[in-house]
Amino acid sequence: MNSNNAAYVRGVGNTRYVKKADQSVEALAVTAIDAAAADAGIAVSDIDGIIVYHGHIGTDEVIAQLRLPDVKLRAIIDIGGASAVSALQMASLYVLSGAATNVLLVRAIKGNSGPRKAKRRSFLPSQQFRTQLEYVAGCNTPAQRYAFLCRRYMHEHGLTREHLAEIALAARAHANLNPDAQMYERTLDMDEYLSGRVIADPYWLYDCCLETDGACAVVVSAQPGTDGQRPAVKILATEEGHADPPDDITNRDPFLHVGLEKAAARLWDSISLGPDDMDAAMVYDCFTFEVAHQLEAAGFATPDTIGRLILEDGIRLGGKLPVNTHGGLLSEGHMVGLNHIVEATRQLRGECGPRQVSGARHVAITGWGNLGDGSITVLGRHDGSA
Amino acid sequence: MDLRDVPAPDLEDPLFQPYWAGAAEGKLVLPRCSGCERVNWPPRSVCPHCRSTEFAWAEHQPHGTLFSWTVVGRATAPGYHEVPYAVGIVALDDAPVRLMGTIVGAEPSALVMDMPVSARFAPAGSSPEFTLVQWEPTADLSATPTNPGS
Repeated sequence: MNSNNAAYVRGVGNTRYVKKADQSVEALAVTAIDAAAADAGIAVSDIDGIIVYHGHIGTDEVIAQLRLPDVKLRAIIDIGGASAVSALQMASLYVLSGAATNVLLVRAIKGNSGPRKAKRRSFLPSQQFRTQLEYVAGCNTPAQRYAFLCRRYMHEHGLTREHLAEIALAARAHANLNPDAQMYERTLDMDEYLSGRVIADPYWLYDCCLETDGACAVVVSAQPGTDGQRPAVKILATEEGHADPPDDITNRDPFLHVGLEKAAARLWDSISLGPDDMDAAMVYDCFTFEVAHQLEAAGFATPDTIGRLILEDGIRLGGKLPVNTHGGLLSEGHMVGLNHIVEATRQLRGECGPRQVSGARHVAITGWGNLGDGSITVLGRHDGSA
Repeated sequence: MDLRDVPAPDLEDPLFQPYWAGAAEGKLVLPRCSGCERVNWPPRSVCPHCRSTEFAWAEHQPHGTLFSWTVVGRATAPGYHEVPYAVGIVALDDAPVRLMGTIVGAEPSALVMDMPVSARFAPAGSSPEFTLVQWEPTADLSATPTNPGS
């Protein structure tokens, strides 16, 4: 969706991301929401729409904890890690239609000190395929499923361990500049990367995202809420797309096609900007390879050039396309991609200190979820009174 | 591979019952749409191509090629306690479908992209209750040098 009547990321907030938080999930959520509302310049009671995610704090809990007086609509978007970016589209529709004024997106979870991923309830589509075909074959985690895509892609397009390593090392180098990141004080070098134990080969330990305790929140509004005092962050366009079929990886044809390709094609058609105009990209990084796959699917590279983009042109700060300047899910924390929206917003406002992308005006954000659903948005900096 | 603790799925689920019944007899049985003749996998109650709801289950040659795989190093799946093990996606030779299954009969490090594999029917669960379709290299790996391209 691309609209001339713009919606804005009006406020963002987060807790510190840690391995084990003493606070409850609700307390983490309240901290992040209070921060986002203050950042937006609204009272928490002005929140009148909420979009959440399966398995994290729910809408009724948020309403109850914050005593929100009049929430008019709420939604859960159920496409896994693609949900956060998709929620920007839904929130935009809400605020531009007048159905709501200030829509809250929130993630709050104890992902590390709560139940481990493999023990949590699965929200994947077509549960029969999971139980009848996958679990019986010893396959029940995202790392295992996506490893099939990774290995085939490496085989077909010449991606190597070096490329995967650079994605992990770049994320960590960025997190080392981010005091809120779970891995702020933990450096990672190639030797340690290569010593990581096998999780689901080709994915080794440092190819895998973190499990995190924490929360973050975003407020979307039709008003930038800046009073010209700081740059506004405009949602220029958002799209989502689905693989064919979305509920099964094994028989997808072509095997490596994903929903993001469709979403990105529509996105770039809808705005007068292209991948080369992006000053940075926040890419859903559940595992290292997914970053390469999505950079290609989103149009930042072709299968022939993706290796060069990663190793030569550069995905670190100072490179051609800084990717995940906060450290991403790999090294900042796993907030299911909502933290990517928080980081993009701060980059566009110039608030990122030592990890600031100089002069950032446009940042793309992708989401990847379930078995190949994709989403993409472009946020733009808008100076002066909006 | 010890399969005694692998939980049986719902073997009477009508969408999968002929598949499990076939496996119990050592046969690879898949649904072919009676409307458009396509082999549908995974099975669906309505053919996505022609909307037929009629399917005839037929036996297939238990041979294919290894399309992709992962080597699981951290045990997470119910009943799969011992790691490492390989689970892969096999492209069937005689129908344009791919099947997921464990890859046995070779060290995971000896697996090669697109190598020929054949089905092995393995009793699973505690009685045993059902039969799993596993895949193993068709060629005798011990007789051939390691593929340098792997």
